[in-house]
Amino acid sequence: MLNLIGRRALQGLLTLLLVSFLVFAGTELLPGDVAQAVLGQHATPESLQELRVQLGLDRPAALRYVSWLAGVIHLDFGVSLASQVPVRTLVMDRLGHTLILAGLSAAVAVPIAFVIGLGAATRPAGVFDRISSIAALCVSALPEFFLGTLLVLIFAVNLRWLPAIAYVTEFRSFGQMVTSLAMPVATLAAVIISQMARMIRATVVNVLSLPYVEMAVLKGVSYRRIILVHALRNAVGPIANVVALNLAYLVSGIVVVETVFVYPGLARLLVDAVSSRDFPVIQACVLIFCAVYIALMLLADIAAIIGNPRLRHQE
Amino acid sequence: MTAVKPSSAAANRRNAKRRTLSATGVFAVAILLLWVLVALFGPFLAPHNEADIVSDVNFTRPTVEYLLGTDYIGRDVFSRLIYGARTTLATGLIATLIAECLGICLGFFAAIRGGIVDSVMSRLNDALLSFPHIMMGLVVIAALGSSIPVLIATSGFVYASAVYRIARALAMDLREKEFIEAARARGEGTWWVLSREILPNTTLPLLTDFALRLSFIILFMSSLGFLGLGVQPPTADWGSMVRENMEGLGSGSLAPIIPAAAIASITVALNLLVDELSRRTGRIYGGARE
Amino acid sequence: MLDRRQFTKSLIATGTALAAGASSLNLATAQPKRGGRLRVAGHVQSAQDTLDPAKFAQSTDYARGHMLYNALTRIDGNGQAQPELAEAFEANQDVTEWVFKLRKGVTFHDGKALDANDVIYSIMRHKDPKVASASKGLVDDLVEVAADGTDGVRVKLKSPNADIPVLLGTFGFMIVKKGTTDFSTAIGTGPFRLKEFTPGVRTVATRNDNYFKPGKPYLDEIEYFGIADPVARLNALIAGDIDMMSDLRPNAIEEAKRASNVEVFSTPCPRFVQFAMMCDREPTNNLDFRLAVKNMLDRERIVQQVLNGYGVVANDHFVMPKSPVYNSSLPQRGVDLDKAKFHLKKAGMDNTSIELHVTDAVQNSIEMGLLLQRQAALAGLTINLKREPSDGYWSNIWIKRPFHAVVWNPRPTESLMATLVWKSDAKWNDTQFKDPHLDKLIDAARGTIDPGKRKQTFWDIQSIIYEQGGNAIPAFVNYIDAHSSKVKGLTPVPTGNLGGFNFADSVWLES
Repeated sequence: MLNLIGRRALQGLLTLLLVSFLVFAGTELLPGDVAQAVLGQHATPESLQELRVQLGLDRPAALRYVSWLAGVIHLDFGVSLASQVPVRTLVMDRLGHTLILAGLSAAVAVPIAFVIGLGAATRPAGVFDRISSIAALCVSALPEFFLGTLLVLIFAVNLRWLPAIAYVTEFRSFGQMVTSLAMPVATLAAVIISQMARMIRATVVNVLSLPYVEMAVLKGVSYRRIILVHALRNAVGPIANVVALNLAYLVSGIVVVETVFVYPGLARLLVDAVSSRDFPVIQACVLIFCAVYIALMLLADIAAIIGNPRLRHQE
Repeated sequence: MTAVKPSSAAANRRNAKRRTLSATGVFAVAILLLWVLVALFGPFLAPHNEADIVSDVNFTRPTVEYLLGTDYIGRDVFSRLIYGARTTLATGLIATLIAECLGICLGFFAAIRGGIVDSVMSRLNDALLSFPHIMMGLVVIAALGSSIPVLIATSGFVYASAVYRIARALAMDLREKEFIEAARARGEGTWWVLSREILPNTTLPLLTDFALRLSFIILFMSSLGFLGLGVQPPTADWGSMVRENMEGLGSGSLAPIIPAAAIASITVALNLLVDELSRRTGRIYGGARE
Repeated sequence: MLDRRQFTKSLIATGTALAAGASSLNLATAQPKRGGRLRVAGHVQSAQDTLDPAKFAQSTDYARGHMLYNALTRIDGNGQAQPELAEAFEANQDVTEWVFKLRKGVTFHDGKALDANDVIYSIMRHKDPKVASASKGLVDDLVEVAADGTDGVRVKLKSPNADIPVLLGTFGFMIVKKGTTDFSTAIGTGPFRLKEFTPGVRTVATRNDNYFKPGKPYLDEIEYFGIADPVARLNALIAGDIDMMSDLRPNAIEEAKRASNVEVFSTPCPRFVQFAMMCDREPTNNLDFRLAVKNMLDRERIVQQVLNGYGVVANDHFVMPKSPVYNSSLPQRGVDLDKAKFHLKKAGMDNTSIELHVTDAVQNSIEMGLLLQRQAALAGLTINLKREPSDGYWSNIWIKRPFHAVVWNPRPTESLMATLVWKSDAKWNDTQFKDPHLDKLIDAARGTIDPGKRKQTFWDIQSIIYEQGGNAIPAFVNYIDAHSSKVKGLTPVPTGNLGGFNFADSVWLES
């Protein structure tokens, strides 16, 4: 297993390198550059040229990429071209926020998904199955900005229970964190629960129809025990995979929710950096997202291997 | 996206149910059919043109003349909903087709060739897959400008990498199967194996993936619309309709609510259809909105 | 444009009370209260946020700048320059030299006293190419800035310019300490000291107890951050999470008015949105085409339906009807489809199509474009709207595409506006309309003091732009903001949202 982890980690690094190159090539293709973005409507040809020289944009693209790469090897991500703040400062701050939001959303969504999925699996096509899966589907089928704004109108504007924006730079207390993040967490959870729940339901239903589970039923093992011990264990691979995919989404794909709730997360930083063509910041964000994705996928694989002994002995 | 192979016993059991369509399945198909009909014939029946500014008043309540009220610039929401069905479905379908075609072709190709070709392609695909989709969309559209062809091509390209993974996995499974090996032994070419053996045996799973992918792509396009990148005005598509009318939500205008509900209805129907198809294929489909 | 400042050559001697300008109106009704924390949400959320005045290029910078720094002058509700760090200013006879007398006893946040060297440095650094200043275009006219005695600076000009005090009251010209190259601590003379600054996230500033205006500022702390989504911004205000916001969308005004705790704050101003038709390229170089478009615009409807009444109909030039130099002899253009058809035919462009570039970066340009599109269809011209992404619009579309939307924020004076946009060699001449006669008129207007002569010059300028120019200008667009009814002391200044973004030292909170 260690062998597998090592190999996957190596593959991951390779993927990261590839990603960094693709991102660089991608940003080179964008029209305009950071000098134009910074000076905006006020740009004059001379001031543009001067700023480009100052920011080192006059050097050939390949050279800029290589020097950036050299910096990264020493864990130096450079300085934001747009704001002159070290990229690490910018990114670490936002990463913390993103992880809090993603963590809380996962902590809410994953258990609910399991309850719905397992509950539905014990009685497929029963009342609970039908209602819960349709309800989860309906909520997850709305565009996030619509769902988020609807929640704000109800709970912040009309009822005044919760703040309309999750905008915080430091949480003064746990209670304040909970009220600030309640609505973004609810929005994100609503969006991801359905896909996880249906995956859990389907895998478990599938495992339950296996011969050895039927044998266990005949031997008089309790249904609950069958689901929790046998079925879940065998279903862990695909479930881990879909949970990992959704967690990756929570980290990287939530720019819309961050915008609606004015939450200073990493995804918003990335979108802002794209619009200001701030290459070092774009690179840092994308590398983090990519690394999170790879790590989550790796974790899912490991979970599958632990859960399913047969896989452990393959290869 | 994941597809799980069930045991053969479970699949056999389900074969018995193959020919029947459950109530939810009927419901899903009915909704989809309805929207397809609206998309095809609706614009002939719509009371107004999608671009016509018919009222001096923005965000009016529903009246006999404007069944769903007017939007943020005095256009008829009902008519735009109908026109929007065509745009939304057409762009979504074409983008999904592109994603599936690209992903399936490359995925099958990688699986059949195997070796270094497969490794290189899969690594590259991993890299693409690990990008946040919305960011890829932003970059491409910022570079090429926002137009319907660019929107479709971008969404198709962005989602192709997920399809690639599924297609490759499906083909890898089959590769080991005896009939494929037999065909290979007979000296049949790659293309022959692909089109005669692999594709027919993966049709249903891929169709299921298609439905799920379409629902993701419709939501993805509405998110792009929220970030200001979507179809060009005055063309109506549901995602942009929700976004441009959000200011009416606070005063209870139907202008943002109805298109949001339309998006939801399509997504729900597609997902129910996926469930139905999974029952038939014995494969389980899931994924994450991206 | 704004009421033209009554030009006076006498030294304007004033105390600090005058510096508050038009806000005395509010002071009369209620006694300002000390204390409290103000949360302000701007409409721009940008990673390019900066503390360097030379890089100030967007509204978040302007608001932040006014918290931390002061300029020599302050622009008041009528667009006139009032004393700020300069307690008085005067020009020589031919208006080629200005002397600013500095206020005594003003200190920077680190305790250093303000002197002429700081002012000279703050202005002259814009000329230094290495600074790459966003205001560089504005200082070309300045030949030299030198100390004048112990507490004054002398500004020498290339050509007569009556607008220098106003120019030096604008955002880029805030005064920093001599020699500053690292702006991360934002040492200024302003009413607040920097406590926290995270680009793209927020600015927190606390009260400067040594501020030179007695009793001011009223607030203990200001927190300023951006909420890019207009719906989220208004919801946050109604829910009480913020106290003040810039840029309320016209369509949301009714909702804001319905909320009992919110007040709409509207600033009528000469900000205008135009459809620029570039005169140096096909097909917009055809005068008949331009006249056709000018006769298609349903200006009344744009003001009523797009702006919800929060604007003024414009007449294809930049002078507002209430301005003393407004040319009232030019007939107000409206929808005249016969005329439009006539000109289209004459241009040989009936039943053709053209692309019009619009963007979210230009307020309401998409909606205005939609209205124009409908009218054009009736006249036999197909307009294809191209909605462009906000980022990159100014570098890729503006002054590049033949037919595109532009917004012009007000400049303090009409002559400054004309110089920036209509001179043949102006960098921002976005229609590329070049007319030597117009150039002469604009130069003359800038140096003219006699009101009668000025008026005649401006009348001629307007009629040239109206008849031949490349600008289809449907409307002047108010700045519309909103704030909690607890917020007091905010007065409109027509150079920007929220009192020209210069609210920090005059706003207070009612308990």
